[in-house]
Amino acid sequence: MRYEELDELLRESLQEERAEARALLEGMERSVTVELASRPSAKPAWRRWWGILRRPPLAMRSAVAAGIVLALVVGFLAGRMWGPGGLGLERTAGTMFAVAAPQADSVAVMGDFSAWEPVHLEDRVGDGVWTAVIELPPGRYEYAFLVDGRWVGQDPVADEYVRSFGEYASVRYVEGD
Amino acid sequence: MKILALSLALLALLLPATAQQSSERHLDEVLELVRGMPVEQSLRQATASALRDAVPAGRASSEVAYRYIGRARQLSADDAATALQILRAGLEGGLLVDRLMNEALKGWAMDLSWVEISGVLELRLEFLLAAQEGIGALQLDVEVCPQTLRLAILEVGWAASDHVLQQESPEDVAGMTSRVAERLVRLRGAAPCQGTVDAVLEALSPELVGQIAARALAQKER
Repeated sequence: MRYEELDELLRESLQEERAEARALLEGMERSVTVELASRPSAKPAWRRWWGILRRPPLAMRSAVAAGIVLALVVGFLAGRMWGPGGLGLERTAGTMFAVAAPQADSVAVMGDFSAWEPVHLEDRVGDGVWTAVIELPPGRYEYAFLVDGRWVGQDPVADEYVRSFGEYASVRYVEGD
Repeated sequence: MKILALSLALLALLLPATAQQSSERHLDEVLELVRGMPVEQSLRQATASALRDAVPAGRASSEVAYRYIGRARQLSADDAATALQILRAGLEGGLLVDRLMNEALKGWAMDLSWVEISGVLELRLEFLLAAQEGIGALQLDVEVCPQTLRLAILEVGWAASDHVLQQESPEDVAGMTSRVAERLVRLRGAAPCQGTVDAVLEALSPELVGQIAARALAQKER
């Protein structure tokens, strides 16, 4: 068969298929229109929302109630801590304590701010740098680190060092606003 | 499910807040510890009375006092009495005593004996009382903030005693004065009412520091 003859045959075939499909689609469009016309009209969006607000489902009512309680509790605690006549805590940014101790199993900082009780540092990203952020009101604080139980009194970022009982301790001054 | 999740979130928020509140010692807990000390009743009563005045006034914190007295209770009766006498003297002298108690707690954290700790505490106390006397007698030109003045007295006494404890000669009054002045300059940024600190700084002299050191060391010798 020659190329021109094959091309002609393909064109005819495609035209026949297109004509059949068009007839089918026209029939479908008409039946869908009739079907939709026979259904009752849907409610507008505002009416659907009004219905939900008038009679909310149980889960939504509980969620709203819990949200209100949460807001009240947070407001109450914040007010007690920082409000007038509260606990007298001053809001300051936290003070970072950090030690590079890649081989250590445990690192803690202790000082005037913790009545010399250890506060544990964490190596969050596993790079051997142990950190803790502690909220401190303005003042002067002596402190030292415990690296695997060993006293490390000289923090390179300290404001000064003091020596008593034969050991060094670091000092930070936390300034007010 | 949503209710459960919300309840858990609420609980998670409340628990740390309540934990933070309960971690703060109440004065009553401190007084209860004092009542249980194996010392003479008159010392217990005087210490409790001084604490009742000092804690609400911000001259001592109940948390530090609780830990100090808690550790002191584990000492022998005589040593526990010494620990309470030091605290009482500081409180009755109108000092800020947290740093004094923290010094003892630091010593305990180093596993030191009470003999070593009390020697340092007694020296610190004498310097603080001498600084109180020396600076209290000054006629400062500004209207002072009482709490900042107490902080300044604490720094003066503490820095001067640091000088002695770090094996520097008490005769080196110029060196001691320089150390004291340096501490006061640092205190300016960390204390309210900077004018009060400035006034103490202005009044500071080698003569004054020398008098404080001489008085403290003479008392310690007795």
